[in-house]
Amino acid sequence: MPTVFGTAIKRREDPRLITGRATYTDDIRLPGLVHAAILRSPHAHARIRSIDVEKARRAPGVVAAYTGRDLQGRIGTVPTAWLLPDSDLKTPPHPVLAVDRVRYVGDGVALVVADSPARARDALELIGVEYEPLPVVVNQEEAMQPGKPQLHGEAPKNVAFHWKAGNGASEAFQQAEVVVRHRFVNNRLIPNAMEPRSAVARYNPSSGEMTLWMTSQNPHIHRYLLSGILGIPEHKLRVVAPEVGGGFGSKIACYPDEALVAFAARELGVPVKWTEDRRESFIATTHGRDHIQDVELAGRKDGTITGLRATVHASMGAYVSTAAPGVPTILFGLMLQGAYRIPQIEVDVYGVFTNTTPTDAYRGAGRPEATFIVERLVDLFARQIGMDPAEVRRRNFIPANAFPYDTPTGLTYDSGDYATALDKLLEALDYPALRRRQEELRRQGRYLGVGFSTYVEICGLGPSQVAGAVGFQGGLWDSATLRVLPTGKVLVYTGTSPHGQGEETTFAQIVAEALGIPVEDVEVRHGDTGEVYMGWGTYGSRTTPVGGSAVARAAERVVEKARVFAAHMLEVAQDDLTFEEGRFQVKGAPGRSVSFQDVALQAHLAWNLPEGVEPSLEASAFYDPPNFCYPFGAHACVVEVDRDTGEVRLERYVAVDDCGRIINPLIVEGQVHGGVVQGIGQALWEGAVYDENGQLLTGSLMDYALPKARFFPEIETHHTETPAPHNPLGVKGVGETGTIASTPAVVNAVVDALAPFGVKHLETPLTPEKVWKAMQDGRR
Amino acid sequence: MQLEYRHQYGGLAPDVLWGALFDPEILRRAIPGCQGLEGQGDGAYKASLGLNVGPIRGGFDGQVALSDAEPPRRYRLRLDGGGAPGQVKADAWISLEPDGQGTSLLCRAEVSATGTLAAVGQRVMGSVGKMLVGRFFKNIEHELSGQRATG
Repeated sequence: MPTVFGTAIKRREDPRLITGRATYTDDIRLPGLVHAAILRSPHAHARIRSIDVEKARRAPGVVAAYTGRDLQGRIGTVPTAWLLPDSDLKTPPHPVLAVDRVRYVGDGVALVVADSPARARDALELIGVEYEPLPVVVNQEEAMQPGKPQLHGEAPKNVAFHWKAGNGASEAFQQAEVVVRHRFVNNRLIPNAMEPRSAVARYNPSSGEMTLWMTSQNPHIHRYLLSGILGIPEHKLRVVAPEVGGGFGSKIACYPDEALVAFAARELGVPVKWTEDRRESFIATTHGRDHIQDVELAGRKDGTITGLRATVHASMGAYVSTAAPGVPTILFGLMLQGAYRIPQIEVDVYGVFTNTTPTDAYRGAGRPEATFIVERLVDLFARQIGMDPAEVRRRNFIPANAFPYDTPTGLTYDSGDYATALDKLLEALDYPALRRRQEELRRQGRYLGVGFSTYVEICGLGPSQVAGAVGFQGGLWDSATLRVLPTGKVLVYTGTSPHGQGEETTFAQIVAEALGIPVEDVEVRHGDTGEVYMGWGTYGSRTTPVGGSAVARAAERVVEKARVFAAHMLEVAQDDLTFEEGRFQVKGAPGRSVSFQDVALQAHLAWNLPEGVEPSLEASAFYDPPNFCYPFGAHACVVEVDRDTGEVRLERYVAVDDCGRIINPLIVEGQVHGGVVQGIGQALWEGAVYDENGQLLTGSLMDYALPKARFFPEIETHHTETPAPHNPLGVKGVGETGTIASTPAVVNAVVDALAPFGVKHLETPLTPEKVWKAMQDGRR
Repeated sequence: MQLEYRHQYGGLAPDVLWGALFDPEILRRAIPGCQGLEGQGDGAYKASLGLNVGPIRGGFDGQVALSDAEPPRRYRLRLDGGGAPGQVKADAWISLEPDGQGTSLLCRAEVSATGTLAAVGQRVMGSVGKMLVGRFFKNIEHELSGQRATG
């Protein structure tokens, strides 16, 4: 049998996804189903003088209407689940519907339930809300100034938290030969999963059981948190994530809306469905990024980087979302040395309330914001000392023989070989030829640019002990159960909750490899708390390193138990057996063997079991990783800037990634493609814009520019494989690397192209207008 | 958001036009989608509109105030209203300049919006707003030339 580990087999998920035969939450039809719609505040900040839902209640088809006051005392508030220690974090109560004050455009104000989605929406228009608009603040630095509107009484100056990390960098800056200072604005992004959020709730009053289907990246976390909000005992609440059409972090959080749907189903005794529309999604689903970063790098003229300092103001939006405090701190600040041996790091982060949609994890979550700082600063430094940016990177890389490497921020990078990845990249680029071409084109008045990003990121979240130490209110281990059926087919239950990443395929490969059975004989189940005992979900590129490792461990246990049966069947000692390609073979006795399928059948028939052994062939594993994973790589982007229009044309994008051992190269390539595209989205097109009244001006797909396939050249992918030393598979995550690496690569390339105009930096997104203006300013 | 609209009235002198712009009956017929206009004295009106232009669809209720009149040269129009798609505030100055036999009218407004109106505003509001304002001033012309407003 061919080795399946490392084989580019096609994703088994795809046929159902691309033929419209998948079942998403909104596809669920139940008898008696009614539909909910949520009235959302049009004001970014206002006192609610009164809400009149009487007309709505009498509208055709309306079953019920609720205001925040109607719910008081009957449902809990939405919790924050990352309680950052040593930061004086404030988590003001976040009611499921606003009671007397709204704090962002999109804040829920009332809930209507009707016999059709259209009638529920129509009835929203009949609700009379008297608002008294209050002064608004949308910028996080302004929000901390005296005299600005205060969002929450318990958070003076709108500061949600102040967090510091690093080993102090004042010495490095005192002794620096060169200091590069800059301010970067890491712009706010709107995740825009293809499937907006949706929930269907069904309550059985006689058993007290609630089933909640919802768009979730982590159904067990949602069960745990919603059980508290709703007051439903955890064992009576089943959360199911059916097919989920992308999340990118936006489906990690616990939102008010799904709780409201469940509440209404219990109140009304009929199943209730709610599906966000696209415009609603823009304002009611968490956003990402939104940092103002004041940064400086200390170095020597020979290209050595000696220190890095950052003061960051991160917008939390109007409330502290579920994982929000961890994103601009643990996942950001601790990664500020990037791939470099920078001895001194100092970081200060303020999390600040503003009258905007709450922010939370968005693909990369903190690491893109960190990587952007490091990779841009390295380029600015290189230019200041007149050294090639690739050379400055190489000089400062943590060397391959320094792993495991303890960072000044207290992390331990597991394994890496950064220089090899860069070498591979430069070779793929034919770098010297590229620079010659750049020179040649400049003489013709054409502007070609090359930009690098040699990143490292932290993922595979993570050791539970560390989760506890950094205030994450959950564990970060994961589970797998393998159930071998009498015919030797295998069902795998994972506690992770893949929603597009392809683990139904890769986990089947892990099991097929371990058991020596065809990959078609393995089915992977996930996303249902009624089927899977426990798990912490899919985010932080943890699914394969943590969930996959649990699967590998459980498979080992199945083999161990199968070996007991096989030894009994063959009447030999267990040590006399080898297990290869799905057969237990007596050493030195060709012909005396049993297949895995033979063993599975006997284990279930149980006619003749070994002494003291129970029937069946099932095993579980609960895997808690000893460390995070640190994938790395070297990306380069080649752009040409149109001198007349300022448009940036992507000429080449080359990615060299190292995510440890590769289970399925096709899936890894797909993840890199998607990730790169999403990161380039931030670099060139995407950006949430609020006006000074807190109105989201980019509130539709006509106004918020998502990347389109035709904007891209073929993305060239290469790999090096440096195994993760601490998990059974040697794998690292790859779901976010592309997004983390690509944004600075593109900005570096554009700034490189614009060097003849004296341009040092441009804020993302690099729209043609911005680029054109920069060229005009440079021409003057 | 700034909105600017210019309309040339051939053969209508500023003082003739002025009368029409302050005549509640003519206003009611000329305001696009106007379903009611109730004078409250002192240049204040309570208005209700039904609009259906692209994503801006539904009923709007609001207050209109005409003030700072310097007949027949210029006046100020303030509007504060809203409906399901969001709320609009507009503060406009309308000025009339004699132009040969006719009048050149200029409307300059500062408009702010909330909700869907704001979310699609950058792209749609400018053009929709301009179209509605344009329709209004054209309707005034029709009214004065004795034709039915096209509404």
